[in-house]
Amino acid sequence: MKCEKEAVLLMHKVLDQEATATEKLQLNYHLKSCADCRDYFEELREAESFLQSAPEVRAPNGFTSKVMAQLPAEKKTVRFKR
Amino acid sequence: MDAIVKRIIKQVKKGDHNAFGEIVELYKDKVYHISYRMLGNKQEAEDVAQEAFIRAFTNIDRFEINRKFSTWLYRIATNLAIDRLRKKRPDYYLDAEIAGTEGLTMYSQLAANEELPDEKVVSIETQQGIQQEILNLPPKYRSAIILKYIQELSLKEISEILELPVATVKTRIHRGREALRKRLRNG
Repeated sequence: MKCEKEAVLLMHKVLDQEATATEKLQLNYHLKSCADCRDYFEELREAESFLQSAPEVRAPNGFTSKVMAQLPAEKKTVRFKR
Repeated sequence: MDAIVKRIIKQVKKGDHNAFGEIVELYKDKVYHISYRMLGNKQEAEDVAQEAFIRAFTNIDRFEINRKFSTWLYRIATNLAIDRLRKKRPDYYLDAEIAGTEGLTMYSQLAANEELPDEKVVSIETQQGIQQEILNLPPKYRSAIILKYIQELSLKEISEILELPVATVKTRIHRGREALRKRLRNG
């Protein structure tokens, strides 16, 4: 796979949405003729969608009150200013 | 959103404790999510997320009001998570059997499903699979990957959070993607 290195750089550029229109065409054109690179690009895209499928995680109940209870006491100077 | 946050931060800077509660409410899920994905453990994630807010509060005078608050807050959280990872034993593996238990691994200790919405789009198995794959990434790729794919932040924002040039962030994301590609391929 002589083409791989250059093509792979281009793939990442496309995935980062930083490829120019010409570069995108260039990659598409190459993928049409190179099955190895086509698989490679498909695998990279699968890796992306795998990550994107991670469900939202929420802070546990009572999180805010726990934080608030641990805040240092107000500074004297501040209280004085009020 | 930014204008509201700015107003609240000004109150906090004047010493208003309660105003900070609004900040915690606004960002708690995001900060907890970053910590959880970095550490893969609920208790540690909660500790780190709480600590991040406490540090933000105590250092609020250092925060420049015209900067983006979330960037600053995520930086604090990411750094705390990385510090925590450094202190961990390197031979800590989730699939290692826990001493004194029969066949019980750290996998079975990950009760990550509790916080899932009722409608389980992703099965628990897949959910643990994702977390495990994220944990398999070296921490420096892991943080970049989490910020990009879990928090959906721009490369520029990630570079500000991690205090690295955009080019370095790109390299880390590329390597993270490659590492994951290889693993998914073999799995």
